[in-house]
Amino acid sequence: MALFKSITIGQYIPGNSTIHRLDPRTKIIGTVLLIVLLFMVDTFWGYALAALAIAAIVHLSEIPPRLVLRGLRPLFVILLLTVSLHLFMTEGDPIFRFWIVEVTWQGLSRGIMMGVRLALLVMGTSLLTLTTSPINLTDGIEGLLKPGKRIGIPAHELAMMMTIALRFIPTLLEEAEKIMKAQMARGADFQGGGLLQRAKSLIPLLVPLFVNAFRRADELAIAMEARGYRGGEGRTKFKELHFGRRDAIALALAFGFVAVVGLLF
Amino acid sequence: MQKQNTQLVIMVETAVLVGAALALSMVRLIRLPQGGSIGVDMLPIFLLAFRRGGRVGLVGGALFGVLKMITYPYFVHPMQVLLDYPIPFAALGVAGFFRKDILTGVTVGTVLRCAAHVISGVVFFAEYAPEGTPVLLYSLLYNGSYLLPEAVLVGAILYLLRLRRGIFEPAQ
Repeated sequence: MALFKSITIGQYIPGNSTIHRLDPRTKIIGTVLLIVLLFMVDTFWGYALAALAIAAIVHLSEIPPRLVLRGLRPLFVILLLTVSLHLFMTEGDPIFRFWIVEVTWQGLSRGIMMGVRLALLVMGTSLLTLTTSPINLTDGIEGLLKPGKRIGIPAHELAMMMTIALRFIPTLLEEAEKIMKAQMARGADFQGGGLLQRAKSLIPLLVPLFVNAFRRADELAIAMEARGYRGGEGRTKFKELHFGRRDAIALALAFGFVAVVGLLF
Repeated sequence: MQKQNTQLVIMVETAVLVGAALALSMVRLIRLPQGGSIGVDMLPIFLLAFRRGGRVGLVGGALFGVLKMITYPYFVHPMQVLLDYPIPFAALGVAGFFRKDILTGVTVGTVLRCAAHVISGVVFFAEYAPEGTPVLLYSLLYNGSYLLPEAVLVGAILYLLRLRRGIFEPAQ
């Protein structure tokens, strides 16, 4: 089955750029700041400066710009819809009128600004996942959730579950492929048929898949316990997150930029 | 000791099923013309909910949503992100409160998930489209178009699986 070939988890592009080496917590906070900024600004110059900042980050991250732009592809229809809805439905000074359709200057500028904001939001957030691996992001989320422990958020356990889940994706895909091949060798047919027919045909794949998954989960829990796992308290890490000078500078820059641009434009 | 052990098993089981949901979400069974597709990635979350109860289902669903978000983010509005990732999948976990009746559980879970996506669509268009667009209808039609067949598929599979003890009930 070619179904399972060439699957990569997430959009992460490995690299060693300044942006790649930032602490994931820094990058998450930076992304949140960028989002805040894009919802604060409301003028042409505001969006232009935000676009400039994103372009600078793309440059620093050494990610080919076309990959960042590729993230816009699924947005295309929505982008077109947003711009044209504004273009035709905003009242104001007309540019031209055709039958019942009226295009106004206000509609044009509003449509373009909304379209630009959407595009910048999608590009800005995908920069985070392009430069940070899912595992790293999970570590970052754990770090940021830690203060929530006092109000009962089990930061460590949640992050541990996400890490295990990510780790198991390739294993489970491989297993699914193996089972499929084994069942096809016995004459199972996974293609075609209506919904109910398909549901039936998936049973020989799903039963062994889940039974194995539960067995694996059980074994992993035993293995963890045998090694003395007892939750987040006092646990050390193989790879510690390190919030360094670079991160402090990056965050200061981001805060400064968002404050100045957000408030002025 | 015994209690902690069960808790760890539940935790790891949740993780592995969330992993299974992610793995299944990468295998698209049927593609729909307007961009959605029909898959069985809801299945492991429902299974988790029926096996370990609604609370575990809620957590597992939310984690699945968060992981979906950090692998393939699609961000246009802060509310939209919450309503498109953690909330709808956590809502699937509500099925676990209806352990006696699988089909009701699947229906309730799917309807709640659909509601989250529909509200997300409304929020999105309230922000980006001018007033007067019939957003609610579009959003409902779009989300229903792939969630309905998905729910039928997943519901049928769960119904066929219901008698397999090792899957629906944890071994003692």
